[in-house]
Amino acid sequence: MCGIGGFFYKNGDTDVPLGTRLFSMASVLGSRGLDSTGMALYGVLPSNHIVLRVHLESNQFNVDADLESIIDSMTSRLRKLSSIYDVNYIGNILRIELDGIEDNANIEYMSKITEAIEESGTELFSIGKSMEIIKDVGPAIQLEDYGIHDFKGSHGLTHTRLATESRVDICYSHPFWARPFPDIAVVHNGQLTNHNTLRRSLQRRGYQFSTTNDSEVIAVFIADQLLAGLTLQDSLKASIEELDGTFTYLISTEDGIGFAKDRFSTKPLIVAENKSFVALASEEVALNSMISSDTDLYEPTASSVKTWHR
Amino acid sequence: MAPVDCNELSTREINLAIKEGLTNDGEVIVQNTNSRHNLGVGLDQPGRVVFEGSVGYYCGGMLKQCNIEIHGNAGWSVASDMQSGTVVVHGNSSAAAGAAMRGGSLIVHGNSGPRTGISQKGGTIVIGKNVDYMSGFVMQRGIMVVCGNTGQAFADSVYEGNLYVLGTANDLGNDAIITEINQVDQQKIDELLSKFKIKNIPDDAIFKKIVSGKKLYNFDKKDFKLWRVAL
Repeated sequence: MCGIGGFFYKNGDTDVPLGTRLFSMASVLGSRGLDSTGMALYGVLPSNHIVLRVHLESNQFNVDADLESIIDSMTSRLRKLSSIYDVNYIGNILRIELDGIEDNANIEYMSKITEAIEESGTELFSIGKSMEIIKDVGPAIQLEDYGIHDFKGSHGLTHTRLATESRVDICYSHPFWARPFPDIAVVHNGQLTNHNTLRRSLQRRGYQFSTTNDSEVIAVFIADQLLAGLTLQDSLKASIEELDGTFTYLISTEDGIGFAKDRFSTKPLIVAENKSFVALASEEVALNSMISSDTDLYEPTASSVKTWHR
Repeated sequence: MAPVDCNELSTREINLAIKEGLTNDGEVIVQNTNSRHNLGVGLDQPGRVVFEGSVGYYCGGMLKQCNIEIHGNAGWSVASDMQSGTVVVHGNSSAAAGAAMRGGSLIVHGNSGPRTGISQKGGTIVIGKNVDYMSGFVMQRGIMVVCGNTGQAFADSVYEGNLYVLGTANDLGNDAIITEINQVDQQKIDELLSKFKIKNIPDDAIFKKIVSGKKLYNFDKKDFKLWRVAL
């Protein structure tokens, strides 16, 4: 199974309790899988800032004891690329905010940041001009430790996982970030059968992957299409042809959100939309609290895609 | 009997309360359904159950005798394996509504999702609006009436049974063919539409009748091309 959910404020209002909204969706969708829960949240950062979420393997690091040395080794490399605005941590997850990022920072620059982080044997969950990925094994309640209820923002994704395709591990939890593209994340319900072929073909072109998970391939596939100049809508359409297997997935970017459904309509999705927002979830129960008389509620058909932008 | 309030009850407790209500009063109102799964499954006694809101997956599964009304939407596989009785959905239903049903009637006033009536083995399905991808797949007996449009591969590999469509049926599945509708068919449709109060159907509406072309009943070398496409 797996449960997926997404939320998008059309007017871009960022002063709304996005974390709590996604948490309530994830809590209900927990009936579709409790192996792990995660969120991609789009908040507000000052311009020229980016935020990194870094995972430290607990069997390699003791954050309390090693934090200073970890940060030292990471920051000495990061400082060559940018200045560090803030570093804090919860559990084994570091949140690093960088400033002085140039407006036209390209994908090579983001790759350098990724490499600078991962040289320390740590793993980068996300880079975002506004997006942060928070995820952990276990049910939604685990995410409360990361302060998600304080998180305000304009849109986001959530996922509850029943592991079928790869192991239960924080790094294999959704959402997956489209490494190294900032602000692109995916949540997926289904299984791909050609993900190894697709991954190898993307690897040959220089992309690197953090896991052997099928869903991570979707994120990078779409980001690569966007880089090639396709619109989000056309990238999603291309994925229906290229991805083999069962899927309904949601993808989010800095200013948009979208879904794609496989040719057989194997996996569920319900869309609730009105003038101010669109909410998407595997089951209607996750949307009930947001539905009012002005909300359109519908189930998209097979092979369909749709996107929303600001 | 007081209405059954789902808020404080487990699924098993709700279903036991429904059975108890049917035994005692013959009628049960169920409130705060909140799209929960497995409500009203395995009911086998006469009476009326009213769900005042949307239900989740498998509502009315394996139903016998009972009449169920859903005042909201229904999730996957509403009325699947139904043997007799009636399920009326006033909103929309999701995938595999009426899957493998053998008898009784499933009425959906709104749209119905992919694979509606998959492997239908009897009974009647009436959909007030549209059906999605691969509805009517491998139907073996019974009646399906669609008052709106059909999705891709409608009635694919149908064996027996009659399907009637008022809207578009441009994308029929393998071995499904449109045939002439006769007076008996039309009368049956009119009866169903009036009995179940299906709205917004013009008086002079002419339905298309879809049945099996029966080319896939037995393998014949001559039909090899047909089989290659079908499989």
